[in-house]
Order: sequence, then structure tokens, then C-alpha cells
Amino acid sequence: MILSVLYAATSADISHPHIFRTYSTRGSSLNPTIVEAICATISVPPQFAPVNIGERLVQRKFVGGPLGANNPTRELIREAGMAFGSDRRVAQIMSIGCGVPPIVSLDTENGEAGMDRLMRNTAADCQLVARELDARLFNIEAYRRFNVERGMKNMELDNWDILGDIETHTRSYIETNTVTKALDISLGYLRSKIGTTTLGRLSMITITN
Amino acid sequence: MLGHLRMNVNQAIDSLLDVASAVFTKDSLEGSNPEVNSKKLKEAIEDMLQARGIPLSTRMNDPNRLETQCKV
Repeated sequence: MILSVLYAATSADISHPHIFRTYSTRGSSLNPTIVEAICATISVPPQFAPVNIGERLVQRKFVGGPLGANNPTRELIREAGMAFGSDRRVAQIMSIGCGVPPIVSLDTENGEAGMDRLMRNTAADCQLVARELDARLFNIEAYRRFNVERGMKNMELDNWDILGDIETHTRSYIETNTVTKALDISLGYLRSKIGTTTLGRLSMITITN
Repeated sequence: MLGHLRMNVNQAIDSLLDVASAVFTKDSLEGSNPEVNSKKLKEAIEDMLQARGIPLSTRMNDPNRLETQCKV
């Protein structure tokens, strides 16, 4: 069974991720069209206008990039626990980043165009979550994060179409010994579908303080 | 794209590039207008669904698309 979710935020509270599901859960009422849901997750202000979802009187405005959920791994673990039950075993959670971002300092932020700053902040937000999860899940084989370490720092938003460079950096990352090995192990878990850790244990490790 | 729209990896990459090419043009990155960008985004997503033969009115949780929930 495949369950898909998309995350957006209401423009009234950008720090709280709202989940659009392809399945029913108790209490979830908004059921947007696929077009509305995809547009909402991508519509990061100020580049895009918010997306109105819902009947006229209860309509809400949604924007993309909910703070703290740009990397929604914790939300995923919680959601999977609700959908499948906390005893369900997990074969593999594969988290894929879009390149390790540079360290954000006040100096580098000055003089950057709004969108480039936004992109860096989003990447930094993802990395913050990834680092915390790495610390908490370092000995849990059910979780593995892959993120290109070198070369992606200097990408600007309007470089998105220089795919050759991105591919080069990605290839040299994947071809390092440790990453090649980790990928093989990770794919092995995905293929065998044998879980070593329950959703309940994962959520206990990642969510409690 | 992979789960709900049932694309394979290459189809997902191609569709993503189509959407990005339609939305992130040089114009939209400089002096941008959010309303115009949003319109372009919506059209690009609609084109993507239509190319997959999925009606635009399909909802995220749609009983008529039950087959997508039983792929594995």
C-alpha cells in the first residue's frame, strides 16, 4: 500500500505543517485537488501567491516551506505511526538532501537577493533537522541520510538548470567508499523489506526531548 | 509523483524539469510578480496531470483512484 502526503503551511501560521493526505484519517477534513495540494507545497512566499483551499466560507490560504518541516522526517515517522500502528517495523527511511548548505552567517546574508537567501534558509532549516536526527539515530539502521557534501554550496537559485554540475557533484559523493557501502546496505533493506526497528521506537527516539 | 501519480523515476525527473522550466524562467527570478508565477505554476502542474491522463478535478484522497493505493 502506498500512502502519499504533501506538506504546506497555512499562511496564518507558517511554523505549523499542514498535511494533505491521499488516505483518510480521523479528523482530517480538507481534501484538496491534486493540483491545489501540489501548488500549495511549492508556493513559497514571496515568489508565489498563497493558494486558497476549501469552500468559500471556510477557505484557508496555504503557502509552501513550513518552517521546521522542510525536512519532514519527524512528521513522517509520526504520521506513519498513526497510519500503520506503532508496532509496525520499518525496513528503511531514506532521507535525501539537496546538498549540504554553507554555514549561514550575517556576512553572507548581506547583499544576497531575496530568493537566494530564502533558498539558503530553507536548506539550513533542512540541515538543522538532519543534524539532530543524525545525533539521535546514529546507531539505528532503519534510518539513513544521503546528502551531497561538496560542491553544492555555491549554487544559486538561477543555477537550477546547470544539471551537469549537480550531477558531477552527486556522482563524486556517491562514489566515495563510505557512501557506496551505505547505499548498498540501504537498498538491501529496502529490497528485503525486513524491518529492524518499530515505528513506536523511532518516534520515541526522535520526538521526545 | 512516484507514489500518487504512479510515475517511474525517469518520468518524475522529466516532469519536474518541465515544471521548473515553465516556472523558473529568467523573468520570474528577476523582478517577479507572485500572481504571474502562481498562474504559471498552476498551468504547469495541470499540464503534468493531463499528460498522465488524470482529470484535473481529482482530489488527493479520491475513491475513484483506489488503484493507486494498492500498488505494492
